[in-house]
Amino acid sequence: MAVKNEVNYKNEKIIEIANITKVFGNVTVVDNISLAINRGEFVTLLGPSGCGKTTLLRMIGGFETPTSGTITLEGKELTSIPPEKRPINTVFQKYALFPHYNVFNNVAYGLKNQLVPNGERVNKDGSTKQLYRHYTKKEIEEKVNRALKVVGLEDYGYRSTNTLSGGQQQRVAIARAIVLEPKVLLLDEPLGALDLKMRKEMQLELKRLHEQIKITFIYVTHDQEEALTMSDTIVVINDGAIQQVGTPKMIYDEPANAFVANFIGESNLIPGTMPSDKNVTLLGSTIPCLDKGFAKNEPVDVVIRPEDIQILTSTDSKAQFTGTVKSEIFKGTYYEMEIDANGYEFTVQSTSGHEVDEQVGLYVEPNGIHIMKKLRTINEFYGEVDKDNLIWMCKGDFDLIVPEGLEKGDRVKISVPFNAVELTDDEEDGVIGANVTQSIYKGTYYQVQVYTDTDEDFFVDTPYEWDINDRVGIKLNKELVMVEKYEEEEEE
Amino acid sequence: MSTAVKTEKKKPRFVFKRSFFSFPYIALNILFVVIPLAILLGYAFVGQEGEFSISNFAYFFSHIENIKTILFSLLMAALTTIICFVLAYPLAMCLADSKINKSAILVLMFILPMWVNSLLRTYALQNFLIDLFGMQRGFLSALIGLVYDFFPFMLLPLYTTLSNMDKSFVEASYDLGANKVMTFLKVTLPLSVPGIVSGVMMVFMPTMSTFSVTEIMGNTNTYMIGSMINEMINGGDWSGSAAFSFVLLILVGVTMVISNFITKGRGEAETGVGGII
Repeated sequence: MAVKNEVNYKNEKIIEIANITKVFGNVTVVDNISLAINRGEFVTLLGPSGCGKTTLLRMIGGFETPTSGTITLEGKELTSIPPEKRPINTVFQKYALFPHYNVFNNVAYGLKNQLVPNGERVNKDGSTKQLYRHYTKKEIEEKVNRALKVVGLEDYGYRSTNTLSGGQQQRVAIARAIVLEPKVLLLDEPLGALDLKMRKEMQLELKRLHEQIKITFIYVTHDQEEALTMSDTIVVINDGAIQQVGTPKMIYDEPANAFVANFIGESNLIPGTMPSDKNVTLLGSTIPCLDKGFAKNEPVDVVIRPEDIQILTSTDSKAQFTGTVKSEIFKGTYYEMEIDANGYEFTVQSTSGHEVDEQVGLYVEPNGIHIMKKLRTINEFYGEVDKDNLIWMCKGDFDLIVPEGLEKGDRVKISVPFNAVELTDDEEDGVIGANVTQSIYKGTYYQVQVYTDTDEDFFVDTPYEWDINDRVGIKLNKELVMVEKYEEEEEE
Repeated sequence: MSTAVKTEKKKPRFVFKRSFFSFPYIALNILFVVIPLAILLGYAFVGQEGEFSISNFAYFFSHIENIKTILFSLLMAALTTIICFVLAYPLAMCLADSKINKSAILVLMFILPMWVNSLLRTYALQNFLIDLFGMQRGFLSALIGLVYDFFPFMLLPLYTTLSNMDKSFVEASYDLGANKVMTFLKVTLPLSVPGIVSGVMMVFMPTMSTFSVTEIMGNTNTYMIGSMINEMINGGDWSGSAAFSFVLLILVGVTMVISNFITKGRGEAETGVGGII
């Protein structure tokens, strides 16, 4: 396409998002996100469904108004500009091709609305006024045909859109957006409706298209593989907040936290501690790594990718762990094995297979070990003393041990270790109800995150797997919970 | 695999198909629509001595008053339809907008009159407009009565079409630089054609043949073909009224064919309701 981006500075910021928050009703969908996007970049917003990525995209497109914060395009504030005046175009999730127009008229739709400068008129008082005109029929025809050629649908102009396959409709939607030569192209899960083979083809095609037309792409997906294949930069989003921004390689090799590690690719996620710089203790062994700067014995999460684990004989002195092969599956180019070592079931990928029940040793190079700070080590809440040893917090009366000398109405801080929370299947059995938002397997237990109706997150260590979006009840083990008097800080 | 083979061998003599559910309706349809229509057609061709004759039709078309009444009925139906459409479309757009209409209660308020018998409603309107406010019976009051009676039948299909319409079409139009007016003219309006056609037919057809509303709300100047047929039946002229009804049927049939033709051209859009046949 003829986007004349001769000055294609990769490091020039085109879009700046500053402290954007979006609240629907009483749910915060996007929570204080700030992000800069460079010109010509292929940026992917990646996250599970409901994480706020589509809402963020819709705010850039102008279809939602942020509750607070600003979005600027090339230094100009966008927030108050309606979508039809933004030099940004969108490829919609279900394409949204106009069913009453054929392919040609769908692509031409935007051009017919566009005005182009057409000389200047000199007024009587000597001032000049910029004149505009619509595109001529011939110009529109040329542009549409060029756009259709770019997406490989040259001879489809006369076709009705509902006679096209999903992939072809997708291409028309892309042609319709790029024909306007936008500064930024937004793509909202555009490949979601296609089958696997078509999706893979379109991924490569989109990547090629991006290189060809050099427009900034902002792409939304929940498919981590898609993100890794296509993007220059991936923005991992969860719970309305950015978890990590980086190149695909950075995100994959150095996930910032347990969520990212779990969401991107397969991984072994093991709790550990840092006895000293460049050493990590996990599953009873202390092994070398490359990370430093943690407090002594700080609890951390350790990520080891399945392909970074080498399998040795069980007697090899290099072996860091020894274990038994539990299962082995041939996956075409590699074997995937579950290996039980030191009470943790490692997922290992290797080009050579090993028999089930075989004793093996495992070894990981220091650069294969990724240390992440724990998101949270304890749940902290604030509440107040209710009558009879009850604590009122998160709109529930919890039966906890109230320290001596506290009276009804006193403000308290409640520290709840992850293992002090008990989830109940039936919401009625718990003191309060909550939704399961995340469940990460940590080798010997699941770390589950639940979200209460009072907008609080509980982190829970539990031996059971809980389904995301399930309603559960929350109970607390009063022996493990600590309640302290909370003095409100007087900052005035 | 083995179970599939077994069932094939034991082919039951009677298989209950889903199409069987339509049989009661087909039976009712034949009994109460097809047969009466055939009888109607038969009566229409019966002369004064009981012989086969086209005299009833000849009578109809040879009297200018009859043609005038038909044309007046067409005009009345067209006016009612246009007024209903102009009133209902903006309202349907508001009701379909979830930002304005947060619950469906508003819609219910407009549909609620349909729960009351139309004769009752018409008498209520007569009481209100003519008896209470002293409005003159005539063309205007008859028109108000018709619009009042048939308005929900226009609103409902429009509301259904507009609220089922994928909002991303409108968003896509904004995204491609069209302003609100252009988006309405080039996207919303064309995509709601199926709803418009059903609304128009649901209002036009019954208005064309109505007699109760114009008789309660109008005067001798608002004499419509429905009233004419009603009078003939009351006078015992079965053959004449059958012929008149048949003419009316043909007229309504023609309008249906025309509107179906319009829907076919544009209404391939998968946006909810289509035409009624």
